[in-house]
Amino acid sequence: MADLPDWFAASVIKGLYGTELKTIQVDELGRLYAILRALYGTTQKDVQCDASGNLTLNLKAQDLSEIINRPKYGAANFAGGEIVVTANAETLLTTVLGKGIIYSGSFFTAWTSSQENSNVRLYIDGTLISSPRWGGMFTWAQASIHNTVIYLLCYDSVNFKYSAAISPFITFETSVTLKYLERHGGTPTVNGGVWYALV
Amino acid sequence: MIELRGITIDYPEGTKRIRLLTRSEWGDDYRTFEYPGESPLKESDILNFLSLKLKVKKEDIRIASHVKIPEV
Repeated sequence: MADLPDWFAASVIKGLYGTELKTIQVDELGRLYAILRALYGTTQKDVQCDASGNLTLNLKAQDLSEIINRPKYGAANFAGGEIVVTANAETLLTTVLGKGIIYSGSFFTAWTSSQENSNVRLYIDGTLISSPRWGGMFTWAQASIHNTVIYLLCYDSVNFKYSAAISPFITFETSVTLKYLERHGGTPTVNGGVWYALV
Repeated sequence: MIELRGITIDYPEGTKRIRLLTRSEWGDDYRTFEYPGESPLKESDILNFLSLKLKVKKEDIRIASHVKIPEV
Protein backbone atom coordinates (compact mmCIF):
# COMPACT_ATOMS: atom_id res chain seq x y z
CA MET A 1 0.00 0.00 0.00
CA ALA A 2 2.88 2.29 -0.85
CA ASP A 3 0.65 4.57 -2.97
CA LEU A 4 -1.67 5.33 -0.07
CA PRO A 5 -1.08 7.97 2.64
CA ASP A 6 0.63 6.73 5.78
CA TRP A 7 -2.51 7.37 7.89
CA PHE A 8 -4.40 4.83 5.74
CA ALA A 9 -5.23 1.58 7.50
CA ALA A 10 -6.58 -1.59 5.92
CA SER A 11 -9.54 -3.26 7.62
CA VAL A 12 -10.61 -6.85 7.37
CA ILE A 13 -14.27 -7.80 7.54
CA LYS A 14 -15.02 -11.12 9.14
CA GLY A 15 -18.19 -13.10 9.51
CA LEU A 16 -19.23 -15.83 11.88
CA TYR A 17 -19.51 -19.35 10.50
CA GLY A 18 -20.97 -21.12 13.49
CA THR A 19 -18.58 -19.99 16.19
CA GLU A 20 -15.62 -19.56 13.87
CA LEU A 21 -14.65 -16.18 12.39
CA LYS A 22 -14.08 -16.27 8.62
CA THR A 23 -12.58 -13.45 6.52
CA ILE A 24 -14.95 -12.03 3.90
CA GLN A 25 -13.13 -11.85 0.58
CA VAL A 26 -13.44 -9.97 -2.69
CA ASP A 27 -12.31 -10.74 -6.24
CA GLU A 28 -9.41 -9.10 -8.09
CA LEU A 29 -11.55 -5.99 -8.85
CA GLY A 30 -12.67 -5.63 -5.26
CA ARG A 31 -16.17 -6.92 -5.93
CA LEU A 32 -17.97 -8.67 -3.13
CA TYR A 33 -20.05 -11.59 -4.35
CA ALA A 34 -22.96 -13.14 -2.57
CA ILE A 35 -24.17 -16.67 -3.18
CA LEU A 36 -27.93 -16.93 -2.98
CA ARG A 37 -29.25 -19.86 -1.02
CA ALA A 38 -32.80 -20.94 -0.39
CA LEU A 39 -34.38 -23.33 2.04
CA TYR A 40 -35.74 -26.63 0.71
CA GLY A 41 -37.55 -27.81 3.80
CA THR A 42 -34.78 -27.39 6.32
CA THR A 43 -31.94 -27.92 3.84
CA GLN A 44 -30.13 -25.01 2.21
CA LYS A 45 -29.80 -25.16 -1.59
CA ASP A 46 -27.84 -22.88 -3.90
CA VAL A 47 -29.98 -20.76 -6.23
CA GLN A 48 -28.46 -21.25 -9.65
CA CYS A 49 -28.48 -19.50 -12.98
CA ASP A 50 -27.94 -20.44 -16.61
CA ALA A 51 -24.87 -19.74 -18.75
CA SER A 52 -26.07 -16.16 -19.36
CA GLY A 53 -26.55 -15.47 -15.69
CA ASN A 54 -30.35 -15.57 -15.86
CA LEU A 55 -32.19 -16.87 -12.85
CA THR A 56 -34.84 -19.42 -13.76
CA LEU A 57 -38.23 -18.84 -12.17
CA ASN A 58 -40.14 -21.98 -11.36
CA LEU A 59 -43.82 -21.13 -11.04
CA LYS A 60 -44.52 -24.52 -9.50
CA ALA A 61 -42.70 -23.36 -6.44
CA GLN A 62 -45.13 -20.53 -5.89
CA ASP A 63 -48.11 -20.85 -3.62
CA LEU A 64 -50.55 -19.79 -6.37
CA SER A 65 -53.79 -21.68 -6.53
CA GLU A 66 -54.40 -20.39 -10.05
CA ILE A 67 -52.87 -18.05 -12.58
CA ILE A 68 -55.25 -15.60 -14.23
CA ASN A 69 -54.27 -14.60 -17.74
CA ARG A 70 -56.65 -12.13 -19.37
CA PRO A 71 -56.17 -10.51 -22.76
CA LYS A 72 -56.56 -6.77 -22.58
CA TYR A 73 -59.37 -5.60 -24.83
CA GLY A 74 -60.54 -2.06 -25.28
CA ALA A 75 -64.07 -0.98 -24.62
CA ALA A 76 -66.88 -2.71 -26.46
CA ASN A 77 -67.82 -0.88 -29.60
CA PHE A 78 -70.32 -1.10 -32.44
CA ALA A 79 -69.97 -0.66 -36.17
CA GLY A 80 -72.97 -1.01 -38.39
CA GLY A 81 -75.82 0.52 -40.22
CA GLU A 82 -77.95 -0.01 -43.26
CA ILE A 83 -77.43 0.33 -46.97
CA VAL A 84 -79.40 -0.29 -50.14
CA VAL A 85 -77.65 -3.28 -51.64
CA THR A 86 -76.90 -3.89 -55.30
CA ALA A 87 -79.08 -6.43 -57.11
CA ASN A 88 -77.42 -9.75 -57.94
CA ALA A 89 -74.14 -8.67 -56.35
CA GLU A 90 -72.24 -8.69 -53.09
CA THR A 91 -72.46 -5.45 -51.06
CA LEU A 92 -70.27 -4.39 -48.14
CA LEU A 93 -72.31 -3.71 -45.01
CA THR A 94 -69.65 -3.11 -42.38
CA THR A 95 -65.95 -3.68 -41.88
CA VAL A 96 -63.69 -3.40 -38.86
CA LEU A 97 -59.94 -3.38 -39.39
CA GLY A 98 -57.80 -4.33 -36.43
CA LYS A 99 -57.21 -7.19 -34.00
CA GLY A 100 -59.86 -8.18 -31.54
CA ILE A 101 -62.97 -10.14 -30.68
CA ILE A 102 -66.62 -10.18 -31.76
CA TYR A 103 -69.19 -10.06 -28.98
CA SER A 104 -72.17 -10.30 -31.30
CA GLY A 105 -73.47 -9.21 -34.67
CA SER A 106 -76.68 -9.00 -36.63
CA PHE A 107 -78.17 -8.87 -40.12
CA PHE A 108 -81.74 -7.97 -40.97
CA THR A 109 -83.77 -6.88 -43.94
CA ALA A 110 -87.30 -6.56 -45.25
CA TRP A 111 -88.27 -6.48 -48.91
CA THR A 112 -91.34 -6.57 -51.14
CA SER A 113 -90.66 -10.12 -52.32
CA SER A 114 -88.65 -13.12 -51.26
CA GLN A 115 -84.96 -12.90 -50.39
CA GLU A 116 -84.70 -16.54 -49.39
CA ASN A 117 -81.76 -17.35 -51.67
CA SER A 118 -79.69 -14.30 -50.74
CA ASN A 119 -76.69 -14.84 -48.49
CA VAL A 120 -75.48 -13.07 -45.38
CA ARG A 121 -71.71 -13.28 -45.23
CA LEU A 122 -69.03 -13.02 -42.58
CA TYR A 123 -65.38 -12.60 -43.52
CA ILE A 124 -62.65 -12.96 -40.90
CA ASP A 125 -59.21 -11.66 -41.87
CA GLY A 126 -60.34 -11.58 -45.49
CA THR A 127 -61.55 -15.19 -45.51
CA LEU A 128 -65.21 -16.02 -45.99
CA ILE A 129 -66.04 -18.23 -43.03
CA SER A 130 -69.83 -18.28 -43.19
CA SER A 131 -72.30 -17.54 -46.00
CA PRO A 132 -75.72 -18.99 -45.24
CA ARG A 133 -78.85 -18.32 -47.31
CA TRP A 134 -81.93 -17.14 -45.43
CA GLY A 135 -83.83 -20.11 -46.80
CA GLY A 136 -81.02 -22.54 -46.01
CA MET A 137 -80.91 -21.51 -42.37
CA PHE A 138 -84.69 -21.97 -42.16
CA THR A 139 -84.71 -25.38 -43.93
CA TRP A 140 -81.95 -26.74 -41.72
CA ALA A 141 -83.10 -25.04 -38.53
CA GLN A 142 -79.81 -23.27 -38.05
CA ALA A 143 -81.23 -21.10 -35.35
CA SER A 144 -79.16 -21.78 -32.26
CA ILE A 145 -76.36 -19.63 -30.95
CA HIS A 146 -72.92 -21.30 -31.11
CA ASN A 147 -74.14 -24.17 -33.31
CA THR A 148 -73.42 -22.16 -36.43
CA VAL A 149 -71.39 -18.99 -36.84
CA ILE A 150 -74.44 -17.17 -38.25
CA TYR A 151 -77.81 -18.28 -36.90
CA LEU A 152 -81.36 -17.40 -37.87
CA LEU A 153 -83.63 -15.24 -35.72
CA CYS A 154 -86.53 -14.44 -38.04
CA TYR A 155 -87.76 -15.98 -41.30
CA ASP A 156 -91.06 -14.52 -42.44
CA SER A 157 -91.89 -15.79 -45.96
CA VAL A 158 -95.23 -13.92 -45.98
CA ASN A 159 -94.04 -10.41 -45.12
CA PHE A 160 -90.50 -11.09 -46.37
CA LYS A 161 -88.71 -10.13 -43.17
CA TYR A 162 -85.47 -11.85 -42.24
CA SER A 163 -82.89 -11.53 -39.48
CA ALA A 164 -79.88 -13.43 -38.21
CA ALA A 165 -77.12 -13.00 -35.64
CA ILE A 166 -73.45 -13.86 -35.26
CA SER A 167 -72.29 -16.18 -32.50
CA PRO A 168 -70.00 -14.45 -29.99
CA PHE A 169 -66.30 -14.76 -29.18
CA ILE A 170 -64.93 -15.06 -32.69
CA THR A 171 -61.45 -13.54 -32.70
CA PHE A 172 -59.83 -11.79 -35.63
CA GLU A 173 -56.27 -10.73 -36.37
CA THR A 174 -56.73 -8.10 -39.09
CA SER A 175 -60.39 -7.61 -40.01
CA VAL A 176 -64.03 -8.60 -39.72
CA THR A 177 -66.38 -7.81 -42.59
CA LEU A 178 -70.13 -8.25 -43.06
CA LYS A 179 -71.49 -8.48 -46.60
CA TYR A 180 -74.77 -9.32 -48.31
CA LEU A 181 -75.03 -11.28 -51.54
CA GLU A 182 -78.34 -10.44 -53.22
CA ARG A 183 -79.67 -13.19 -55.54
CA HIS A 184 -83.22 -12.15 -56.49
CA GLY A 185 -82.60 -9.02 -58.57
CA GLY A 186 -83.90 -6.80 -55.77
CA THR A 187 -82.45 -3.80 -54.00
CA PRO A 188 -83.51 -4.17 -50.37
CA THR A 189 -82.10 -2.09 -47.57
CA VAL A 190 -80.00 -4.44 -45.46
CA ASN A 191 -78.87 -3.71 -41.93
CA GLY A 192 -75.61 -5.27 -40.73
CA GLY A 193 -73.65 -4.57 -37.59
CA VAL A 194 -71.11 -6.04 -35.23
CA TRP A 195 -70.30 -5.51 -31.55
CA TYR A 196 -66.60 -5.93 -31.01
CA ALA A 197 -63.53 -4.88 -29.06
CA LEU A 198 -59.99 -4.32 -30.26
CA VAL A 199 -56.89 -5.33 -28.36
CA MET B 1 -46.60 7.52 -28.66
CA ILE B 2 -50.14 7.00 -29.98
CA GLU B 3 -51.04 3.91 -31.98
CA LEU B 4 -53.78 3.52 -34.57
CA ARG B 5 -55.33 0.20 -33.58
CA GLY B 6 -58.34 -0.04 -35.85
CA ILE B 7 -60.45 1.42 -38.64
CA THR B 8 -64.18 0.86 -39.08
CA ILE B 9 -66.28 1.52 -42.16
CA ASP B 10 -70.05 1.32 -41.81
CA TYR B 11 -73.28 2.93 -43.01
CA PRO B 12 -75.35 4.33 -40.15
CA GLU B 13 -78.54 5.86 -41.60
CA GLY B 14 -77.28 4.75 -45.00
CA THR B 15 -74.37 7.20 -45.01
CA LYS B 16 -70.80 6.01 -45.17
CA ARG B 17 -68.82 6.58 -41.97
CA ILE B 18 -65.13 5.95 -41.30
CA ARG B 19 -63.79 5.84 -37.76
CA LEU B 20 -60.24 5.60 -36.47
CA LEU B 21 -59.55 3.90 -33.15
CA THR B 22 -56.39 4.80 -31.25
CA ARG B 23 -54.78 4.08 -27.93
CA SER B 24 -51.66 5.13 -26.07
CA GLU B 25 -48.40 3.19 -26.06
CA TRP B 26 -49.32 2.00 -22.57
CA GLY B 27 -52.33 0.19 -23.96
CA ASP B 28 -54.90 2.51 -22.44
CA ASP B 29 -56.74 5.71 -23.35
CA TYR B 30 -58.76 4.19 -26.16
CA ARG B 31 -60.20 6.91 -28.37
CA THR B 32 -62.36 6.96 -31.49
CA PHE B 33 -62.37 9.68 -34.14
CA GLU B 34 -64.73 10.07 -37.05
CA TYR B 35 -62.70 10.51 -40.20
CA PRO B 36 -64.12 12.79 -42.91
CA GLY B 37 -65.75 10.52 -45.46
CA GLU B 38 -64.64 12.68 -48.35
CA SER B 39 -60.96 12.52 -47.38
CA PRO B 40 -58.70 9.93 -49.01
CA LEU B 41 -57.91 7.02 -46.74
CA LYS B 42 -54.14 7.12 -47.11
CA GLU B 43 -51.54 6.63 -44.43
CA SER B 44 -50.18 10.19 -44.74
CA ASP B 45 -53.67 11.72 -44.56
CA ILE B 46 -54.60 9.58 -41.59
CA LEU B 47 -51.45 10.67 -39.75
CA ASN B 48 -52.16 14.33 -40.55
CA PHE B 49 -55.72 13.97 -39.31
CA LEU B 50 -54.75 12.26 -36.07
CA SER B 51 -51.92 14.71 -35.47
CA LEU B 52 -54.39 17.60 -35.56
CA LYS B 53 -56.99 15.81 -33.46
CA LEU B 54 -54.59 14.57 -30.81
CA LYS B 55 -52.32 17.64 -30.89
CA VAL B 56 -49.18 15.53 -31.21
CA LYS B 57 -46.51 15.35 -33.88
CA LYS B 58 -47.00 12.90 -36.72
CA GLU B 59 -43.78 11.23 -35.64
CA ASP B 60 -45.46 10.37 -32.35
CA ILE B 61 -48.21 8.40 -34.07
CA ARG B 62 -47.74 4.95 -35.50
CA ILE B 63 -50.04 2.55 -37.30
CA ALA B 64 -50.18 -0.95 -35.81
CA SER B 65 -48.68 -3.47 -38.21
CA HIS B 66 -51.90 -5.53 -38.35
CA VAL B 67 -53.99 -2.55 -39.48
CA LYS B 68 -54.16 -2.77 -43.25
CA ILE B 69 -55.48 0.46 -44.71
CA PRO B 70 -58.13 -0.41 -47.29
CA GLU B 71 -58.21 1.05 -50.77
CA VAL B 72 -61.56 2.85 -50.56
